[in-house]
Amino acid sequence: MKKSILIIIEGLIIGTSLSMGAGGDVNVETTVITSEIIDTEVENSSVGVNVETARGSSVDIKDTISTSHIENSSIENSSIGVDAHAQSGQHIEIKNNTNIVDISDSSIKHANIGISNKTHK
Amino acid sequence: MKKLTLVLTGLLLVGTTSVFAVSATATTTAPATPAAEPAATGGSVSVDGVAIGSAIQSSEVTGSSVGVRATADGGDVSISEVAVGSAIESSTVESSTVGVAVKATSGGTVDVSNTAVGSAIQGSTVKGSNVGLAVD
Repeated sequence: MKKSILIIIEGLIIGTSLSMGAGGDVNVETTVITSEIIDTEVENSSVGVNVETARGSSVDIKDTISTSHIENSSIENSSIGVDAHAQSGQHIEIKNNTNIVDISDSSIKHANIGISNKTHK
Repeated sequence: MKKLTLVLTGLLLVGTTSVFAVSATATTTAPATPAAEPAATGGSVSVDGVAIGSAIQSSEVTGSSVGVRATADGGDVSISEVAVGSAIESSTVESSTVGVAVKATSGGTVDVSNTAVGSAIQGSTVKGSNVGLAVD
């Protein structure tokens, strides 16, 4: 019989999170991100690398390896892996990255799994 | 095209085997002084040298993105040297993107080159979604 432990994560950021009120460029380089979520419920949360800036000019994600393994879990309104946002952004560059996503027996709703990168006017 | 597919397989193995052996180093930098406010009409998206492997099995994916997603307000879109592999089995994918999704509002030119996209879907339901490479 398979023993399972249910873990509930809500409104949390796990991993690296940076939020800058008046930041400029966002660079995520030479980074290894592993996210393993098993028998877990994740809601309104970020697992991995989460970066937000205001008045950012560019978002670069380079030379990274991101793996996300999600098994028998529920992910809702959350981001798993790398999530970078820059307000007033000008340029996005995603270069030399490897991104592996493995999802089984899970429910994913309104979530970003892998690399999510967004600039806003 | 064949070459890129092989590269993807190799990278998948490298990513899977080395990721637990290599220690994680997160470097996130930003200048101390605030950046100048950029023009509202600018912006560009560049995706280069990326390998994505996505496997979804017996799962439900709704209103989500799996893989790489980039959105920019305005500018050009450039995608090169990208290999995308997506396998979906016994799952439901609805209003979602699996693989690479790039969106540039008020965009200029779209340039896609040297790209390999492979998708395998079996016993699944896919509605209102993009699987593989989507440029909007």
